[in-house]
Amino acid sequence: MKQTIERGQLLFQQGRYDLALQEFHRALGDDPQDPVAHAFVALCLAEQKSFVDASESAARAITSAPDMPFAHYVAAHVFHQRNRFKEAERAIDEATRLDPYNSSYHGLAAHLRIAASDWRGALARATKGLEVDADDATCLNARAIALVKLGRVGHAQSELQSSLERDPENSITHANLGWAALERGERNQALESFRESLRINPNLDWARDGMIHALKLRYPLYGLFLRYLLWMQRLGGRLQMAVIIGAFVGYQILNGVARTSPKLRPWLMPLLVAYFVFAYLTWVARPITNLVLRLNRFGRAILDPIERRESNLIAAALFGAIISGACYFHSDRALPLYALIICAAIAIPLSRVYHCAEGWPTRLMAGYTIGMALLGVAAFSFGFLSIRFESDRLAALAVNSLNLYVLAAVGSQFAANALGMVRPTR
Amino acid sequence: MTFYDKQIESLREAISLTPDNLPLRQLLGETLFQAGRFTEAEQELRKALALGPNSARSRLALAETFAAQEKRGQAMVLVEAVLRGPDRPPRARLLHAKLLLKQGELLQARDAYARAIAEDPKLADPELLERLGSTEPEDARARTDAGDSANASLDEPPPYDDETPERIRIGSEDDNAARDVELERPDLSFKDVGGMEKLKEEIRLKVIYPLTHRELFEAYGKKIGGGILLYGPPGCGKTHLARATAGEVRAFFLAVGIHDVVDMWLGNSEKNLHAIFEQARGHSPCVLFFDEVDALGASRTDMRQSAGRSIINQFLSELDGIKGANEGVLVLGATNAPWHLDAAFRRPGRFDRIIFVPPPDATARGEILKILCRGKPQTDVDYTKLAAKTDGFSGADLKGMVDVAIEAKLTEAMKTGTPTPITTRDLLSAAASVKPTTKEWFATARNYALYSNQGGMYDEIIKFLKI
Repeated sequence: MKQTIERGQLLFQQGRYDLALQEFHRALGDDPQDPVAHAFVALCLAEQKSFVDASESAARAITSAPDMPFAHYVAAHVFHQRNRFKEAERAIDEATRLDPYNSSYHGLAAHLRIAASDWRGALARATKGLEVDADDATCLNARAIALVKLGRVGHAQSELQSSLERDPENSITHANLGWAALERGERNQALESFRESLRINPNLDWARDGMIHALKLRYPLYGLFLRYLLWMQRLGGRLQMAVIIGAFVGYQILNGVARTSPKLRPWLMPLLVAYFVFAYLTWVARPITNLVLRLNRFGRAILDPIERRESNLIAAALFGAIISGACYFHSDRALPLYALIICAAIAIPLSRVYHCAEGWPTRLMAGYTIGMALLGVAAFSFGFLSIRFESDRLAALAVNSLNLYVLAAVGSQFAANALGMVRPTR
Repeated sequence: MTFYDKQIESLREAISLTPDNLPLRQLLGETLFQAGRFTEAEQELRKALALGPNSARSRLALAETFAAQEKRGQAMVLVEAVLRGPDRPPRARLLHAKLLLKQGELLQARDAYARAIAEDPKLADPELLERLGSTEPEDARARTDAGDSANASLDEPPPYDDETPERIRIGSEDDNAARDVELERPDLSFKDVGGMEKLKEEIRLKVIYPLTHRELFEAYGKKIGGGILLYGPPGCGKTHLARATAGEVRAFFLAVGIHDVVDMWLGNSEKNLHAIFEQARGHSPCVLFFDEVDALGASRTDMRQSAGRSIINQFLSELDGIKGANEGVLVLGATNAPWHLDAAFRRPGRFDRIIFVPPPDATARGEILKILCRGKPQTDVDYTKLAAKTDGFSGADLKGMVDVAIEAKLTEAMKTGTPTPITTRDLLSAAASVKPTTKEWFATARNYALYSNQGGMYDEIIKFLKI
């Protein structure tokens, strides 16, 4: 009986979840109430992405042994993976209450605080875990992430370095060090850390992402973009939204001022244009640089198929915008202007489709983009037909639908931001 | 009630009173055999063998039972075990002769028959003699020659399947206390492995020529033995290939599976591992096959700190042959996750040849499908088209696909009441519902090849994926 569970644990550690499940089920055949077996079944199922069943098994473990902290920890772990953070917090609090001397429990609690963008809370939980076990890698990494987000990058770097001295084969620590280096714009240091991290665990997407950023730091202005990106990440959900709305409102006010007072106009115009360009670039910088990255062999290999497809689509949209822009400046007709606006604006929602969480956010964003594209095609067709048949009614229809399209494009920014933050429960 | 039935009944009664009485059980088994009740005989004799693992009488009786049931591979293993033992009844030689004849090894069969008759003239079997032709004992050289040509007369190859029924547990003579691993005599050869020509050539060079041209290798002072590591996506025939290798050299095949390995982590691992190697050495030439060998040498952090290190070291020293010469023992390992293998495994003399077993190509897929559909009702199935549409499917996926198609046909037949043959379309729609399992594997492998390709270990993956 004990032997069966031990075998199962070994197989679990080796990542053979199918075989491990068999052992735990066998153990449950002998004792259907065994809490450890139930807890491990939950962990195996979570690894196999059967999240609902996993939570059920975790609940069963808790029912059989409500005073076993490990059962609560497993429940929290599964909830964390399901993006059900509140329930996860509740479970991990119970686990740490029952056993305050397990650093892994504090580590998970710290990561849950990180998910909520509560850097101070994360720091406190991670530090608590390290008081129990100063070498706990999960706590060390959570602490480093919190420190970086709180602006204490140097501090984080030295802690990570000393953690590596104890455990040089920890891919997460290396990746963490890489992100800290990115924060400071130290390209070579970042590249080296990400390379090491990926050598140890080639499937760590977090490190792969960082590697892509580090590679792109070579391009002019990308450093600026990355700094903006990291700064936004540091703000956390609500503040991020406030910044975006604030910038939009500010832009509108300045625009109004510029329109009403011709005196201030020459001073405000460059500012407004610069802001507009920057805002636009924040949307398309990633896919465009991905396109450039694809020129070299390693860059091609490091991007995943979705990123490649995304950069293709954006490239097509921007190519269309450039061609129609050239036509517009050459002929000064309305139709190329329509095409220019349509192509340039579609890039905004398009660049976000693949960055929403899997499931309904992606589907909704894709639906929004397709809807916008259809509206754009309609506006263009009306414009084309109005010229062909010289119909004022069609021309009015074209202008109206284009206005609607522009409105949708502005709205898409907010939709994309809101949807990008959502993490659907699983 | 016949005479046998009465006797069997009274024997069973006696055994129920003294269940550990070995001679009584042997007698019951033999009587059941004479009565023609082979399955029951097999059961009883297996129990007898469990009571006394080294009894030649039980082994021989069980071998005869197997032979009567046409389980020739198992019978052969047992008879050879008897003939290696101290007590060699002439009847064992006679059975050996019969089995050899069925395997097509005529010269060896004659030799065995002649010896049997010499020891006990009463065993003379005119019918067998007729089929054997001459009974002049042949010299050893002629025997090895026959070994090569015998491949041609093998029975029709078994279907593409990793499961071979022809195995049996027998006790190891050297170490009764230690656990037993299934020893078998595979009936496969390279002819039964579709495609993989390059792989076969490499294995021939490393494994087969050293055995067939022993003198040449000895002349150059090259030791026979060593290890090959097969890696690749799951279900692509690594185990099948290993078994066929053993069949090709007519060696014993000792398969150590994941469960045996996991047990080693828990029990008295060093002793068990040593016993397995000793068993292999005792049955030389022998192919010792470790399935999912990465479980043994997992280079994972949580294992490195634990007692797990000692089992890796034990395995390495066994591979190096420190505690006993590995002459004639070929170690094959298979793994889906070569990246979890300890780096020390790859040093010369250990798993120094690392071979990538890719998923079957279009031709091989067509062949596999043909074998899978053999004997099933079908109307002009277009195998070339099916092979083209099943890119990335492993052998196991193809098997799953055929199963799905057949199930759909059965459901249809239950509804309409008239069974119809399988068509290309049925198989194509089944193919659409099966997801190739190799895809996921390659997603991981690709990353390892990209970021972790130390010493060019994954060059073959890079070539295969055309990165």
